[in-house]
Amino acid sequence: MVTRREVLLHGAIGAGFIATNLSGVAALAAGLPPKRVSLQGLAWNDPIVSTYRDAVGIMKNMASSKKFSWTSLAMIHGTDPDNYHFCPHGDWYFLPWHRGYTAMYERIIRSLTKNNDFAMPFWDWTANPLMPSVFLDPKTPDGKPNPLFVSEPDWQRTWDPTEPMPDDIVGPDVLSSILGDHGFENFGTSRNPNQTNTDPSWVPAGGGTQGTLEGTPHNLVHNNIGGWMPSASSPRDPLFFMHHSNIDRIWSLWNTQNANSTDPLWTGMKFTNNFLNIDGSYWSPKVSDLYVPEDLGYTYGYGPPKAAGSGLKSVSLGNKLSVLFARPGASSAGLATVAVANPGTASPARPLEVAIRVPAAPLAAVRDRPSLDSGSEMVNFMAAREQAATGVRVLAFIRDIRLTETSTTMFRVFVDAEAVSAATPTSDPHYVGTFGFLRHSEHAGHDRTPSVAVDLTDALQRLGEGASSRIKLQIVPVPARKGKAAGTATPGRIEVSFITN
Amino acid sequence: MVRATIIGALAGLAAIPAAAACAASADGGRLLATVSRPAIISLQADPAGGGWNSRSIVISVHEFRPSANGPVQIVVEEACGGSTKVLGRFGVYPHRAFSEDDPARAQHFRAPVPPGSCVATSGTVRVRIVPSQGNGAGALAKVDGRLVTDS
Repeated sequence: MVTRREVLLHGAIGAGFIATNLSGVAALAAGLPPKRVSLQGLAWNDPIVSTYRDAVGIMKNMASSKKFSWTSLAMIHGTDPDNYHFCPHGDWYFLPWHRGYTAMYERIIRSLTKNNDFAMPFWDWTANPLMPSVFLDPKTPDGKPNPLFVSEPDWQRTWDPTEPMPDDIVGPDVLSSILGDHGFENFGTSRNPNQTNTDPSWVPAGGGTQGTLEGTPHNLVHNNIGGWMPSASSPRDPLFFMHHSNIDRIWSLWNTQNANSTDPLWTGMKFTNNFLNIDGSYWSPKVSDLYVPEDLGYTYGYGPPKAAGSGLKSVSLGNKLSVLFARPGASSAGLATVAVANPGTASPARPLEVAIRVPAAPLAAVRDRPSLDSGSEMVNFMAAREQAATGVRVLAFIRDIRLTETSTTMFRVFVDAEAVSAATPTSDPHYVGTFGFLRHSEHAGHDRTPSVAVDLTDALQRLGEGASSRIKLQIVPVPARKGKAAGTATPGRIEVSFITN
Repeated sequence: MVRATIIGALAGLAAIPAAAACAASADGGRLLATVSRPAIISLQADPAGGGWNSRSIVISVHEFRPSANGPVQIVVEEACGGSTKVLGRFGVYPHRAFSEDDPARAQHFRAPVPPGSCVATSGTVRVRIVPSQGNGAGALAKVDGRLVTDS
């Protein structure tokens, strides 16, 4: 599997053949409906978050008898925590039904808030497995009640907000396995084997076989969060739609490479009187009405795969990197470098933390640029290359490292974390990468000290938010082998370089 | 589709590590898995499809009871050459109890069989209940399984 980190590293450091004149992702979206974006990096007062929060507040404050009340709309999914109403799980209507359900909320939110630019954001739990922070506090930073917080005493979330969702349910390998599924019924759950017609009773009947998408991240994220989420009344938790928007996004991503079922038992099923239009009348789409997000009023920006080789040309990034490797601290047109000499030692007991003052403008350019949604690089390598080749990139050069216990130690690099230790997982959003040296040249009688470069761009984009002119780089030694002690690393110099194409 | 042949816990021991020897009890042709007692399922090939070349395992949960102190997950493993490999990891959603007396509530999960798997030679998989939070006390699942050919 090619991970995003590998793609970006290749783009930044390999750099021999990188696209620069492709139209940007933003341009691709021109003329399309509002784009659903990742929650990652969105501040509490971002218009997308604010609109969702306001709408949830409006719906929660409606009398429960009203059609658009938070309670009434959730009952379309499940009449109570133990009983489903219309929603299908465990059969092949799972994906299209939840697409329609989420699109219905999206339209109602636009109507209630008069914000037609709103599109439901998604929680990309592969890229950032921590529960989104804007859902976690009872009050917003300006002291107002936060409707995105679950306040009902018996239904509060139980998952530790500081604990990432485990990699074995939401990580890149799981996503890769899902996107590698062939055939809609393997990917999106199979039909009930007894189904012979399109009677609506088959929709919530279950009885099919769940693939990895439904059985693993869908079900286990629901269950792990706790509160409303493991129940049939899960839409009572506002996080439900961030989760289902991501499930829907993965379907859309899979569709860039795979076709849906053409079986009329699937395409012809009508969700009769399941959903509401914004005027309160019923919306009863067929499955075939729900194939294309853009037809429903939103987009993820995943166009058809681009033709290989279109618009590619070599760029000077490779030359700039050659300069940086050869001439420490180099600055020239398109390059800006700052350095810290003798920053200290990273030891198992005390990881190295180095605060580096950097130019604010290029740092803001990096942080403000949305990173690629997880999974995109697996099905659209061109988009990943475009992302890697455009915009400002920021690399850290850790030079002239003196090492102990070289062959039994790996060094994990983090950026801007509050605190790090050997126990900090690599799924932490502040994680940048790991380096190590199999057999340092000291064993061969030489005294050379190695240097490495790590690409900080992805992690800084993932963290987003906040104007700043400082980067905190952290290096944590960890044992490379079970039962072995980790050693230390003492860089002679750390440089941070901003590279503009 | 041939239904899986479920055998008693001891039958799978040739392929499953000794830690599983205290495995599940047979009950009505289906096996009971708990946190402390995995179920060892003997699989038969699907004659309608790829036989031993089948590409997936389907695990059916016919009865489920969650733990009162945190969610649990169902983990399907194979034993290959002395090591254990996870083939699939699933959640029962909604995370609510159901009985095999209500067969419409059974849930079925597909786990791809990876290249190099020894499921075809061992003919067995182990199904474990693993707590995601808490200790999983009280959780149980009554399961069976079969090999299928992907559509």
